[in-house]
Amino acid sequence: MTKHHIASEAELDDGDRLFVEIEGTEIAVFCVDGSYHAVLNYCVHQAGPLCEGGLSGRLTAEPPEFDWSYDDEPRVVTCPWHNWKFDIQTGENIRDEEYKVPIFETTVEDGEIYLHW
Amino acid sequence: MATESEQTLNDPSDLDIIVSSDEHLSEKAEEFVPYIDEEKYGGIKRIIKQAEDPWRELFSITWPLPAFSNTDMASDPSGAGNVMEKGENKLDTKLLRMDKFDIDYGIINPTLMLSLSTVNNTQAAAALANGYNNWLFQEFISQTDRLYMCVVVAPQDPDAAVEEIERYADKDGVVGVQLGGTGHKIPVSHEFWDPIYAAAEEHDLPVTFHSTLNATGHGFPEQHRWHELFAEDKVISHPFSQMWNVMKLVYEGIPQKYPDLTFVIQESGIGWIPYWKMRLDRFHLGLGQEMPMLDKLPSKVIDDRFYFMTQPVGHSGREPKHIAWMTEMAGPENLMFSADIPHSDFDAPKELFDPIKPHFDDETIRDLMGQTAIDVFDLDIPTDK
Repeated sequence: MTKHHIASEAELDDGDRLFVEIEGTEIAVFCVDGSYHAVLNYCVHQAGPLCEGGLSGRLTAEPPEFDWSYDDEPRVVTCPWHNWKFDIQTGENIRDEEYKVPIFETTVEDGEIYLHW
Repeated sequence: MATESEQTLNDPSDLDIIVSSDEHLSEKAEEFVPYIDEEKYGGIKRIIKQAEDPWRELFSITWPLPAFSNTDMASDPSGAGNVMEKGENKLDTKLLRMDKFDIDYGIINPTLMLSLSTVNNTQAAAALANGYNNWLFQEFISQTDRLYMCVVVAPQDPDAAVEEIERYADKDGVVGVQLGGTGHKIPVSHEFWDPIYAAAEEHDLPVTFHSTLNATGHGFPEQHRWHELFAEDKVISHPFSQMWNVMKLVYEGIPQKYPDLTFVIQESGIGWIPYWKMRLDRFHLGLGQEMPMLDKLPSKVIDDRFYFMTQPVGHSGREPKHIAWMTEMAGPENLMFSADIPHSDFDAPKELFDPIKPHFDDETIRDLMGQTAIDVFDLDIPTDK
């Protein structure tokens, strides 16, 4: 596994994302509440630019009443082509975990963000 | 798909058991109205008995042209009911016609009473359901071990519907709750139906949705208004009804709300099922933010919780293998053979058996032709069979 320098923490504010290209592959690094989540910028549906879509929370509904609530933790990226939604922390499609996009480990050392490839 | 060594069945007569999961008696109102509970429904029963034309005066059934015109069954909603052979009485007739096609067991569903959704008066709807169930159970189901029934309920009155379910749930031969599938005033996913689903779930009875052309005017009023032909009502009523029912139930999370309830779709064939599963998946993946109750693909919910009766399978003469392909895509483990005798689009067992025979192993075919129905409806088949 190779460690790639992405950016300094100071370059990314909360809610920002940065696109990097590593060995010809485009990856987005999202900054959310001080954590960094790296996701392949590729939707498994029809190869759309997944990580160019909006980042949001999600509606939830729990038994027995199944009333709708909103979990506002911003961890869902929506592909701008067909609105498929993926959890940037797991890579799983939030509608069905059968669909998954690659995610990558990130670390922070001395204020510098690294992606492990 | 099968390997050659697993294929020993050549004809429906090679099967130990054939179950038709949808059989009909083509009931007439005058047959079952006398069985309406006098004590509970005495007032409305008196009015019901005054109807000279129940199809118009109690139900609101209209067609663009007379049914089956220029055939031997012209204007006869029972289809082939007055054309096929008859026994000494209606029960004998039913069994005789099943024998003719080597069908061992049948689950009886209504004909006229599938149009209960078109009955305006709530008391009349509940009373008619009561009379029909009483007549069916007393005169048929309790008289033979070859017939089973789904208890019919009037969703116009959920409390009466629950009473009816509770009255019949534990009786031998009662294996499901028939809700009808076309023209309901309130869609089948609405919370109005909650008491009915809860009662069916509590009593381990599948809920069945049998669509009907006779309620096309209520289910699809604009299309019905512009239909020039009886055939046009016939063609759209079943698949349109069931596409809507399945979409509403799945997208609005009713299987999640009732985790032990089984859903059965009747009379719309199988060709639309793969298309609809793919389409529901497609838009769940794109628009699923509106469906927080739905925690997996609609096709998986359907595979887990829904069953479909096969009749009418489609025109199988041209490319029989297409029937097998549709069966494979729809999910053979979720399909149950139904004959629908004596209705005009009934399927003899060979209509399904022959095209699927080269493509599936014996066990799959046995399941399709009977065992799945036995399991889903928990049919108490006599052990000597």
